[in-house]
Amino acid sequence: MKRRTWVVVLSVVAAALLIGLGVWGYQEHQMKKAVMISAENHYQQAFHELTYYVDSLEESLGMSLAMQSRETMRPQLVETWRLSALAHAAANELPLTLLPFNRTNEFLSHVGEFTYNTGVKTTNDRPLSKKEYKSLQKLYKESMSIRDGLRDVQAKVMAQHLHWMDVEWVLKGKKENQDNQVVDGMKRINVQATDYTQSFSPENPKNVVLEKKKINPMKGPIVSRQQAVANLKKWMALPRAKIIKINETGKGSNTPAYEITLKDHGRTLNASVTKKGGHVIWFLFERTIRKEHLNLYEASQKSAVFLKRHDLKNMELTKRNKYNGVAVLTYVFRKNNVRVYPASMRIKVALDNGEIIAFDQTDYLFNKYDNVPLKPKLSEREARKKLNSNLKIQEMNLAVFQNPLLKNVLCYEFFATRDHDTYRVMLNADNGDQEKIELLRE
Amino acid sequence: MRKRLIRDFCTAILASVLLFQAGAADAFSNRVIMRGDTGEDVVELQARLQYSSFYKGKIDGAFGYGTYWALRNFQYQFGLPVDGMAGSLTKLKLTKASQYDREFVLRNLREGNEFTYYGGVPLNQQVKKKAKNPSSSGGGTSKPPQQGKGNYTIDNLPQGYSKSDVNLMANAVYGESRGEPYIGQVAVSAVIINRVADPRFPNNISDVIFQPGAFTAVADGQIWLTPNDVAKRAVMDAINGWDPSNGALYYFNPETATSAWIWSRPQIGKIGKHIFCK
Repeated sequence: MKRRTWVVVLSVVAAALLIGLGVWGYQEHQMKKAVMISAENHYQQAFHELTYYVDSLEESLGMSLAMQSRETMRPQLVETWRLSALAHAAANELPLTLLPFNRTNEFLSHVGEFTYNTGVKTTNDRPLSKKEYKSLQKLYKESMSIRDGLRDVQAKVMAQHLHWMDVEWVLKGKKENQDNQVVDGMKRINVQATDYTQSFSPENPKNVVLEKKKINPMKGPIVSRQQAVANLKKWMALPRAKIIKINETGKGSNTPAYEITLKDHGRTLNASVTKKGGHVIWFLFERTIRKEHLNLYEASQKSAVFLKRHDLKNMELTKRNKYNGVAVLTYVFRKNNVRVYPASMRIKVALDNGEIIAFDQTDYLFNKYDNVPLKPKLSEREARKKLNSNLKIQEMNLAVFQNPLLKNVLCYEFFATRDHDTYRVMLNADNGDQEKIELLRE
Repeated sequence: MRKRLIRDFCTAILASVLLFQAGAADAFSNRVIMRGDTGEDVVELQARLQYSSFYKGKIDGAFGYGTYWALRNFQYQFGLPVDGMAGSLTKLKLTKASQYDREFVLRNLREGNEFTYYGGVPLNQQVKKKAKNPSSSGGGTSKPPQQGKGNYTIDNLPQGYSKSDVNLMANAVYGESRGEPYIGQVAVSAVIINRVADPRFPNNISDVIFQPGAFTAVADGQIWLTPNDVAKRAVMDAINGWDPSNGALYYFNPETATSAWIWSRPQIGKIGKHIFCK
């Protein structure tokens, strides 16, 4: 009798446990499913948004082609600009980074760039130039093929209930060769976009964004590894430093260079030296900073000595940042009294003992020979008139500025104030376009 | 030659005035102050410029553009060379043209009060006390004066970056590469920045970091570990322009990389365990 009760109690408890476990497991499973579905829906939404925006984009581009003057075209171009930004945002939410899908993004980015520059930024009312019109036509044609590709994928996704989460798994796992329609569809769109990108050169300077540094080739003979190290040691005045590592950069690099690691007095120095000419592009010491003793002015004196020792002349200190016991000073090349902003270099001074712990002259090395005409077409008075009358001009310079199209242009640089705020306004010295306006926060 | 004469002349004047002014000698340290500086010298500079009505901004110990224009204006009005730096001559003129109630200014700064320091206005009309700390004037338990860094902050990030960008990047870099050599962490930070610049990627820091599949640290949640100082320093170096990756857009660990595609990218170089590529 007693034993039987025990058995009954035990089996009831066991059954209860089992049911509990089942319920718990089921809930967990439901939760996981809910999360998966919500993630999947998020991707679906992003993708359908992308197709929708590219659809509208194509239409919008087509419409602007039929319009006559820039004035009438402007609202359409602005609309296209807006659509490109939305499409770009949607595209970036899809799990496709590791695929060359990036090219579709690049196309969207060109549309944005082009419509912004022709429709939003330009102040004059002249009609589109022949070149601009041609670019517009090209963008339109391209938008059609990208739209078709996306629609194709969309149709497949809908018909076969393909899941973006699966794409993510494919990308994450090693199942690279597995057949996946979504991925394949995307790959095809991208091939087309690649063709487009390569043929689209004049209005498409962003293509060179990461190759910009090739614009002006280095001067000097090719140096060997040994020479590069010798150069570096001499330049750094570290004759006894031990060589830890020398690497040559691969073919993806902006410039062929040696990556050198040295050790001196227990500290590591990393540096990059160009193969051509053996110039030190940058160096960086690793060390902790002790108590701060120097102020910014003293740091700037140290960097001035450094520049002089390395025979870097006509450099003007334009920017100073101080944080965590270091000062980063930016110097800009000055040519015929014009600041050449693209030709800049940075020096990092440790504020404990004034040592130069890092240096970078990439921009200077690659931009100093760039020839921009340094005579403005617009007079200073005309330029001043283009500024908002609420701004009080404090300082004016001529400066060469690299605009978002990566073109170096001569500008009037105004530092102006309104109440407590300081602005920097860059006005194109040839046509008066506002190249950039900045609210300075330093 | 002429320059030297002028300089000698200036030092002579300076020396003579200093002799007479010995009483006011507790003013300013003898260092040159320039834009970008922070600290007590800057507090005094701002207070004195405000006393003589050149500076209308906040007295916060951070030498930004507002202080810069005020100082230049002062130099111009007093016939000094207009360079926007507070050297000995400028400081001397300024000391003569203004008063400085160090105790008043530093106390209000310390207590976080909203205050101004215009000459000719009674001091007690220039302070708006912080509401939540009514008994602070008694000074019974007020904190000891904190001098040096930390107290006077200037938002010294390169143009175009916000504090949250830097924090988020530090998290990502720490999650992605905390075991890597310092230079490798700078390179990882540089890749994030290169992606922002590249049209094929999103055009701001947070979108680049959270792009699905872009960083494993985001996918597995390691981005939410608390970053250390090394990662923060690496991020600051990268946003200040150092790029040890030489323009890379991708990197991968060859031991764990699963995608064949990544091997097809043109490589740039290897730092620590990571191969960087275009």
